[in-house]
Amino acid sequence: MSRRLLSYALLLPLMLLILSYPTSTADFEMEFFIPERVEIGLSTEFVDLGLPQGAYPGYFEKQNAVRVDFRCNILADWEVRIYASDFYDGAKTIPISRLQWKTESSAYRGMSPAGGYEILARRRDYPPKKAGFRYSKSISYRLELRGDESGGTYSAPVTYTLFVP
Amino acid sequence: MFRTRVLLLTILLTIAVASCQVKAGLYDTYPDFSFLILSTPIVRLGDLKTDPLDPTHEYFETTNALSVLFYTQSSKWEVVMSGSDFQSGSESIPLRQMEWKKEGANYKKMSSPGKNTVLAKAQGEGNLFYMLNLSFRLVLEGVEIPGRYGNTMVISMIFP
Repeated sequence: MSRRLLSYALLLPLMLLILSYPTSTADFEMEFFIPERVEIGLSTEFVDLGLPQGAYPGYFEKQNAVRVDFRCNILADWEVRIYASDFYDGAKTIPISRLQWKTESSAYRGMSPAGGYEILARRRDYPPKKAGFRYSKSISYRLELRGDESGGTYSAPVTYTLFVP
Repeated sequence: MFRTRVLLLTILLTIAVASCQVKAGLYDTYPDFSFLILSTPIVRLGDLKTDPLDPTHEYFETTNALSVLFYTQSSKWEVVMSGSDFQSGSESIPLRQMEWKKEGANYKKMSSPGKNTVLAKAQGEGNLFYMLNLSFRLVLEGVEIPGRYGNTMVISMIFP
């Protein structure tokens, strides 16, 4: 009787040990880090609108003058904004609001006055699952003259900003 | 008195065995004396890389990051790997985005979470000891939310 009891005493743990084997595992952890991406880039630093076109007073136009590449993978309502200042040549100026701009898929619209900004793209325009992709937009510019402009070589800084609140 | 001692011994042995019932670690052993050993407890995929020809193509890759050494006398065996989706808080990246390869081979897609991916299997008469050097690659789709991601991968030997 006592031997049988001893056998059971040893057998039970052994059976448990055998039963425990299928649940044993060799495992390892995998780790990686995805950094935040807030990127914006322009295809050129300088856009020459060329020579006036059309009948007097004419207009300047540059199709696909600059390509804007942007990407923001942060869960925030980001915007790509366009800021610009008036054209100037020394003391002579042409209001920047006379400059029109458009993307490949939109019609020309006037730039906001100096100090304001236009919205080129924003997160809510894209499907949530695709908002973190890298996107590109080509911008065309058009400046219609009114005939009251003084002669000269004008320039204006145009700034594209990826704004993340 | 003897019965009490036997009962006490049984309880103690049972507790001792039960306490190591679920083993997780760098090695796995099997009733037929087969075993496998992993070279590292953590595989870090390193820095995010960009394809120079296609900057939109971003991926992680680590070569020969994990070695699996195993021993078996059995003529039929498979070494399998499984895992869960990668998690970072409430965000996740599907395991199917990860690829693996053995040294000198091409990358293959991982199976869905919970399903086994066969890393190697018996091919006739062979050795007793085997070694696998595994590389891993994770190609991003561009929609992933930033963060530190991780999961647990399990490697085991099965005898079909």
